[in-house]
Formats: sequence, structure tokens, C-alpha cells
Amino acid sequence: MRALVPALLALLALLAPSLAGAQAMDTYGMGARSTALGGAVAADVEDFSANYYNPAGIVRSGQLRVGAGWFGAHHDLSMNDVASNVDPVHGIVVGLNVPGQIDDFRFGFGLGVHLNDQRVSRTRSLPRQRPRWEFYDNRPQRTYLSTHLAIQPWPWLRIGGGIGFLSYTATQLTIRGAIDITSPERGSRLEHSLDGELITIRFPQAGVQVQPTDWLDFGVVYRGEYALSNDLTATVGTRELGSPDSVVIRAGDLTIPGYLSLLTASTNSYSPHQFVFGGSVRPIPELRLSFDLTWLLWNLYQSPLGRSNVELDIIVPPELADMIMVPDSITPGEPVDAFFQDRVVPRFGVEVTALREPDVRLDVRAGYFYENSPIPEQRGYTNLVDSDRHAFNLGAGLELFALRPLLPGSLSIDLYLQYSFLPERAHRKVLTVDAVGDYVAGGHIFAGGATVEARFE
Amino acid sequence: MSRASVYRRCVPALRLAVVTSLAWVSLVASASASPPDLFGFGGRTQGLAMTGTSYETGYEAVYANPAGLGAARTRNLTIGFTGGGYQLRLDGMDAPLTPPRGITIGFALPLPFGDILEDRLVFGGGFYTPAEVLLRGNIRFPQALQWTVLERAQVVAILVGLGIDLHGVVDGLQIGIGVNALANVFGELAVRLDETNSFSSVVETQLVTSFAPIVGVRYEHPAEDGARSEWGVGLSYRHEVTSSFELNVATSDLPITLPVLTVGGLVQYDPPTLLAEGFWRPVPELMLVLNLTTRFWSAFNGVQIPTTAMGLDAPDPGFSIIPSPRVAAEYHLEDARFALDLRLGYGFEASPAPPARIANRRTSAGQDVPGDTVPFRILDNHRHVMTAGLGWTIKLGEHGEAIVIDVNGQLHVLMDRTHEIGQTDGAPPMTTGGYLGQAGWTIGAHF
Repeated sequence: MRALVPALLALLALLAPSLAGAQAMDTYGMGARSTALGGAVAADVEDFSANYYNPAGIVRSGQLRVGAGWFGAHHDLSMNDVASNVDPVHGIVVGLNVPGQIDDFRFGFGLGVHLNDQRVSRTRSLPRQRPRWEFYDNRPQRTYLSTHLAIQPWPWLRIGGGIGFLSYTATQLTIRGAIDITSPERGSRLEHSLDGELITIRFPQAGVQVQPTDWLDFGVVYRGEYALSNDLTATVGTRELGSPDSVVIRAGDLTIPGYLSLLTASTNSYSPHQFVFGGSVRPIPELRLSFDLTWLLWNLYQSPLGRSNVELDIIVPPELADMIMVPDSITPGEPVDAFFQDRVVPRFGVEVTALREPDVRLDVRAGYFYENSPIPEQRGYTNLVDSDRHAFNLGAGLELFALRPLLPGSLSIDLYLQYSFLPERAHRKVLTVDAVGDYVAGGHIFAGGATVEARFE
Repeated sequence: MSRASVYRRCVPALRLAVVTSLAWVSLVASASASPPDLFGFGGRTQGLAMTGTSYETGYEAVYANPAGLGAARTRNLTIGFTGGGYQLRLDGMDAPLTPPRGITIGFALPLPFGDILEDRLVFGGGFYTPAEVLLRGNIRFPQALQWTVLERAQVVAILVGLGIDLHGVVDGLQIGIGVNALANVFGELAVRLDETNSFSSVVETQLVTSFAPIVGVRYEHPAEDGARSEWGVGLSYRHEVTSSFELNVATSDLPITLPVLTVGGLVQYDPPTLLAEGFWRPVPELMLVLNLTTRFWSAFNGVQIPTTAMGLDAPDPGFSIIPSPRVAAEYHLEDARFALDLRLGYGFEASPAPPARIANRRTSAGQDVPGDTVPFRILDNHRHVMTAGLGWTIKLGEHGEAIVIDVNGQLHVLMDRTHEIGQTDGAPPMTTGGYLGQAGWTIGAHF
């Protein structure tokens, strides 16, 4: 039975789905305690944030844990001292860890949600020259919803994982009817058909926690790569005269057939392979020190600068030559390589128990991590803006034990503040004639949040 | 018998169950996925003619009636697979339609509070994920052939619910509330040609969630400890679930001036639904279920939207309110180690859609335009739904720990229907019919 239940759970783990676009987690963290510790928790995380940091931790405490909280981040980023107006991110986090035990075999099920309060997700494709803060402008605008399973085959070993599900859009659009160019809004009579799909992609997430002693922990996590594209194919009219799907252009008594084909395809969201190695140590019961190293394979990045193409076919009669100016050719857009480099992120965390009484415990926390920018200097006509990032975190957690009989366990309240400093970085263009020109980019990010978690014994 | 010996005897049975389950996957893998409104949600209730409003207390209650969650006393986590096959006929020829295939996940979690909240609150969740797509939406010209009711099969479902047991107030009474979440896609596409004749566009799309509430109440006649209730009733309401796709296309600096185009429409729609149900056990082993599911399809306004501000809309779909009667029976066999449930069900699903016909277009305000008619080819048929299922419980402990395996199958027989118009303009009236098949399995742990 001991052998069979893990096999069965492994099968379930392979099927367990997540809608797990993790960029917001990668940037701002998940849960007040783990974020306050700089995200250096892969070795021993056990609250609901284990659903992101290390799914093996779901089974660690053996307690049912239900948590909810709020987070927010404000960006103060600029280029040449002009504010970039990067949208803030705020919303809620919710999660639960559900333990189970059959005989002496322990397993757990976890659910984690990070839900922006304005939208589930946003994709944005911009003209290739337009500057955008590649990691902050649009990437955090995405929901994270994950479910994981974890097992504890031996008291010193925990394994967890699941398959992440995300989707990208592919849309085919057909428009037909009549366009009145003398009164386009009122006189045009068009109709359309549309085939739209949110197509599923899958990627794995898995983690291991090893606890050789009760004061030392190690963790390893892998998060799979995914890329979301945004494809749109639009056809206005046909090249076949008299077809029911044709489009005619009207100007007074004149009608001429028209045909337009439009294709845009771009990668809107990319997350690289990630490997996390972590360790934590408790030299005395009141002190916890931790260190994580995250390796992100950004060199495999698929550029957001996609391809586009337009075909336009209008035979303009001489009477309308002044009204309709058809260009001889339209230059298609081609994908541009981004030449990103891998990123290695060190994370440090310190937690001190400042107060320990039978009914209450108070912890104070600090954390730091450093993210080098994987984006090369923007010397050509692309402008994927980024800078290195130093993130400083502070937090505290209060755990209340005297809530029986209503709550047979404890209630914890955790807070954190995060300040990120992005030192100014210069981008010098090769060409002296450039639409954007040289610039210096940098700034600050302020984030904070709180979570409440009930733990049932 | 010792627990160890029970385990030893369970191992071959469980191994067989896993192998059988995998074999079932391979059988249905060539078919496709089924969403809750067409085929039900969960391994047990799908075999019982999509009932469950009065008797279901596991994760399937998040869809059937969240009040049922309130009676759950053990945690359970379930995962499974469902697939279907369509054999639709149009004028005697095959009418291809992508059938559904997807993964089902559900859980029920009693919250172990104490004092006045002891055995009071149960949280549950249910997820259905199509295998290939999270959402497929087709907006067709009104003249095009479209199976508007049956084609709603490619969409994700995310359901959560909370059941509240009112024991101590009225023993056996539970109330529940839940939500069904679905995404709406909104976007803008700005197209222009720059001075170098290079194409330039800005595309921004957003997924915004819409929530449809589900509320319910359930009463189960209290039984002696360990016995099964003799009878129970349930009433549940599911609000309409909609998913829209709307993309505004604005052009500038093109050779001609185009109006702002609004493309998209209603890509997914489940109507408001009222479910009333009762169950009765004439003997402890046999449960009989009678269900009336009423779908308020009259609220459906069609899938198309006008392309331009002053453009015309497709005709009114003219759907009707449709009651669907369902009956089901479950026979329960049990010994100290195993339990077996045999299930059968039947339902009649009348079509809410009028026949394909010539109809008036509408203005963007929804008023018919006299004299402006168009062939409107929505295809749908009445359906006889026959279901069967099997549940196998392997008991593992004294506190309700168990592995539960459910398999089920459904056959929907479409009654032949002759429409008012043909497949093409001038063709004789067309006839539609055919079959839908669905099968699935779930495996769950109770702990």
C-alpha cells in the first residue's frame, strides 16, 4: 500500500492543473512571510505560499492551512527623468494547504491564487521602437492559480508538483459588407465572423525539500518554461468578385471592390526555465537564516517583437485617386532577436522570534535579493527597458494560539514592506538618428501586503 | 480482519482500478470534452442523468447544489477525465463538430472549527479544463450553419462553493452559495501605416472575470447513526454564465478611412437554471431520484454583435424557456471493505431553439428591421438522454478514509427535426439528427 499510494498520487500530480502565469510572483513574491524573507524560503516554506515557492512544502506542517491577503506595488520608474507611468499592480492572494494521511503515509493538496483586482490578465503588443519596461509594464498583469500535490514518503523527504496550464489567444476574423468612405461611421454596413481560441499550453512545476536534521533544511525547485503568443488573422473582403464575403467601397455612386489581409503574431508573455536551490538553518530556536539561488534561463527568451503583414488590394478608379492613396508596397514586420542573458538571483532571509509566550508569538523578518538585468543595452531600434534591481524587505508576523474552542489551532497575521532600487542605466544608440535616442532609465518600486492564515491542528 | 490484511487485499483491486481507469482514458482519448451544462459535472451525477441537487454531498455539489457541501464530513480530492463523441447528421450526411474532452478536478474541505462552528462549514471547488483549449468561441454569420447549443463544449469551468449545515437549528437542513467564474476578453487594436509605409499596430487585450452565483437549499430527513436517509429534497439556482469577446479595431493613416470596427460577440452562454429535485429510498439499498431542471433560454440574446456603430445585428434567436425532466436510480451494495453503486438515469432535453428560418435583422438597439430578412440557420434538436454509471468504494479506515472510483457513460439521441429552410438559399428544408456520446471516470481519495 505504501508503494501504491505514492504512485497513485504521482498520477494525480501529473494531471493536476494550474493556471500559473508566475510573472507577478517572480517579481513581487507571494504571501507576507515569504516575501518579507526575500523569497529565500524554498528549503522550508510550509504556508500556502508553498504553492509557488516549493510545492513540496504543502505537506510539511501536516496542518490544514487557509490563508488570504492583499498585496500592492507602485512603480516609480523613469526614462531621462520623465515618468514612465507604469501601471500599479494590486489584488488579493488566497491559498490553502490540505493535509491527508492514510496509515502513516502523509500527503497534501495545495491551492494558491494571486488575483489582480482589475483584470485576470492583460496582453499588450506595441510597435517595436516604442520603449517599454519589459519586466514591469505588462508582465505582472496576470493571474496565478495553481494546484499541487505533495507527498512525504519519509519524515526527512518531501516531494511536490503539478502541471501548469496557461493559454494563448489565436483569432481569425472575417469582415464583409460595404464601407462608405464619405461617411464611414454612419454609412458603412459591415458584418463579421470570428473564430477565437484560448489554446492550452502546459508546463511542469516540481519541488523537493530535504530535512536531514530538525535545524537544517534544503530545497530544490524547478519551474518550466512557457511562452504565450497573441495571433490575429483578419480578412476584410475577398479577391473574388461577386463573392458573398466581398467588401465594396462606396463613394457616392461609385463602388469598387477591396481586399485587406492582416496578420499579427507576437510573444506576449514568456517565463524561462527556473531552477531554485535553497537552504535554511536554525542555529538557535529563535533564529532562522536562509539563502536561495535562482537560475533563470533568459537566454532562451523569445522576443516580444513579432511579425506582422498587411496585404491591401484596391483598384482605385481615376475619379477617386485624390481620396484613396494606395501605397505601392507595405513593409512587413519581422521578428527581432532580443539577445537576453541568463539571470542568477541570490536571496537572503533572516527571521527572529522576538516574543514567545503560550498564547502568542511574534516574529520579525528581513530579506534581500538582487536581480541582474538579463537585457542587453538597447543600442539598436528596439527599446526593451530594464535595469538591475536591489530589493529590501521587512516584515513581522503575529501568531495567536488562544482561540479555542472556536479555532483548534492558531491564527497568524503577517505584514511586509518591500523597497526596490533600480540604479540608473544608460542606453546609447549606435545610430545618431534614432526616433528615441540615447536615454538613462531607473527608478524605485514600493510594495507591501498583509496575509491572515488560520491553521487547524 | 487486521488493517494490514485489508490493505493486502486492496492492493490488487486498486491496481486493477488504476489499470482500468487508464484503459478508459485510452478509449475516450479519441473523443473530446464535456462542459457541465451539457453533460453534468462529476463522476457520480453524470451517471445519474445529471441530477444531484437533493442527494450529492461531495465536490459535485459545487455545481449541482452547493448546499450539499454542508453535509460533507470527510475531506475529499478527486480527479478524472471525460470525453465525448458527436455523430451529428445534416440531411443524412455527417455534420462535423469538435467534441469535448477534458479533465475534472474537485475537492470538498470541511473546515474543522470548534464550538458553534463545529461540523458547520464546508468549502468546495470544482474545475473542468478542456484538453486542447480553455475557451473556443465561434461567431458566425447568421446564414452559416451553427449548432449554437451543442457547440458550447470547449470552455473551462471554475466553480467554488460554501455549504453551511444548520444542524441544531433544523437538523438535516443545509444552505449553500457558490460562484461559477468565466473570463471575458476585451481588447483594442490600433492599426496605422507610418510615413515609411511600415505597418504598425498596438494590440491590448484583457481577460476580465465574470462571476455567476449559484445558491441552493437542501433538506435530508435525519437518519439513525450510520443509516442512510430515507428521503430528501433540494432546490438550486444557477445564474446565467456568459463569456464575451470584444475587440475594437481602429485604423488610421490607411488609404481609406474605415469606421471603428467592433468584432466579437457572446462566445459562451449557459442560461439561468432552476433545479428542483427529490430522492427517496424505498429500501436502504435503492435510491430513486426525480428532478426537474428548467433553463431560462428566453434570456439568450444571440451571439452576434453589430460590427459598426450603425450596423445591423443578427436576428433574435427566439429561444424558449425549457423544463427538462430527469429520473435516476442508484443501487448500493456494501460489505466491510468495499461498496458498489450501480446507476441508471434518463432525461429529456427539449430544444430551446426554433427551427432554422428566415428572420428579420435587428438594429443595434435590438429592434427588428422590417423587410430586411436573412436566413438564420441555428440547428438544434430535442434529445433523449440515457445515462449509466458505476461507483466502487474501497474502504481504508474507520473514519471514512476511502478510495472512490466512478465511471459513467451517456448517450444523447437527437430526435430528427425538419427545419423551415435549407442548407443554402433555395435548397429544400434540411433535416438534422444524430447522437452524442460521453464517457468519463474519476478517482478520488477521502481522508
